[in-house]
Amino acid sequence: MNTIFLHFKTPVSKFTGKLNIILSPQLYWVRYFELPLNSTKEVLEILPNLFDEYILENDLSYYTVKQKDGRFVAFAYNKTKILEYLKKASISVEQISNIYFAQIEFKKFIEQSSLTCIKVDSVCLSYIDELLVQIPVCFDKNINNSIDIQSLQLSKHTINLTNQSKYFTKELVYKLSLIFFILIILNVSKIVSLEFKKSSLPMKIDTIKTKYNMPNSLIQTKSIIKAMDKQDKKQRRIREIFGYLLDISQQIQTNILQISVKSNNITVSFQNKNIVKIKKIIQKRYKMKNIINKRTSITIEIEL
Amino acid sequence: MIKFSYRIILLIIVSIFLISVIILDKTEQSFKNDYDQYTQYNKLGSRYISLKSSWLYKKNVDIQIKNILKSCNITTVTIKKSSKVLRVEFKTTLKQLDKFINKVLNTNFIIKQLVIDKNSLLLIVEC
Repeated sequence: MNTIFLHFKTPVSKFTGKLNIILSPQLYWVRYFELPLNSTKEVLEILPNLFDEYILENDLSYYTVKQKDGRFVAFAYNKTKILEYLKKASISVEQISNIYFAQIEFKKFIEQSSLTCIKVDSVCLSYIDELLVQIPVCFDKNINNSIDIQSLQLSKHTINLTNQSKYFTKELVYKLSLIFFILIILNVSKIVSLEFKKSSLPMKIDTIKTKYNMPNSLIQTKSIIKAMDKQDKKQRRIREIFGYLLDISQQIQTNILQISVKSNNITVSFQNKNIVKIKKIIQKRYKMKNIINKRTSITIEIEL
Repeated sequence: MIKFSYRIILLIIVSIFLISVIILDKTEQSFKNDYDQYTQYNKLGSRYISLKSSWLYKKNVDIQIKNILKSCNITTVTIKKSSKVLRVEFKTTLKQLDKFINKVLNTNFIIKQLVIDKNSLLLIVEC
């Protein structure tokens, strides 16, 4: 990624891709403060008041970095002014990756070299009382003190000129829009498909009704089936009990005198031979409602 | 201004997406209900037909009874048919009675009443 040093006379940019911008001291105000505060957040809150006595301009934005010695280096800058110079240099906001302060970025370079002044993009800069300032001419014209800002290791201290997150770019928005658009298409196609399937269901239900000759409503059908189920159980039970009673009569070799099925009961009369045994066998499987013991017979009523 | 507009586009698209999700959810729910009703009809239909075929409803009841009586050689029989039931009454030997009962119980009549005595029988079946 290319880096550009932005000052009042930055030539028109020839770069098209993403750019890092280093702001010249012409585009910000800087001061060191010794404050009894710990966090930069707290300092940022009071910076407008601290700069108030030095700068007359309104609409300023602020940035601060805590130094190793506990002091704070504070910056005030005018976003509109910076945007104006970016526009002059033909740099669009979308092109900007990060914006840095020359005060922070060049300090390391000066500390590591023996140079007292540096030349960046034909602008002479020097640290005077810890503050990077632009000087009219370089003191020592013979020293080759032009620095290559492309090779600079940039810090993490950046500012944002717009309220928009740098990650929330136009491209990302378009990509997200495309993804959501595809999802919308998928949802709509699913809705259409379901509606289509749904519309064919009443016809299928009608076919079933006609095929099985069923009543019109579901409630009616359920009620009829319930009654038929009850009937089915009852009829099966009649046959089962009948079979069982006939088996018993053979088992204990006694005659059935009478057997009748009426409403919900089966009544059976055995010849009075082995009452206890008959009762015991029937009791094993069925609930006996009534037992009538006569001299010659035993009559048992079984619930269906 | 341009940035604002493409954010608006995203906002609109996300809103449309959320609306489509809500509509899809409602459609799925509605389809599920209708499909449940369809499967219920399908199940009830097979159950209805199976129950109907298990027992002799209306059709052929008197013919079947007459056939059984004939096969058991029972001739003196009183058969009365009303709109809902068929009443069969006769007196016979124990052997014939036994044969008749066996056949009746093994045929799918809906027995309303059955009274068997030593040598007589009263059978009322649904028809």
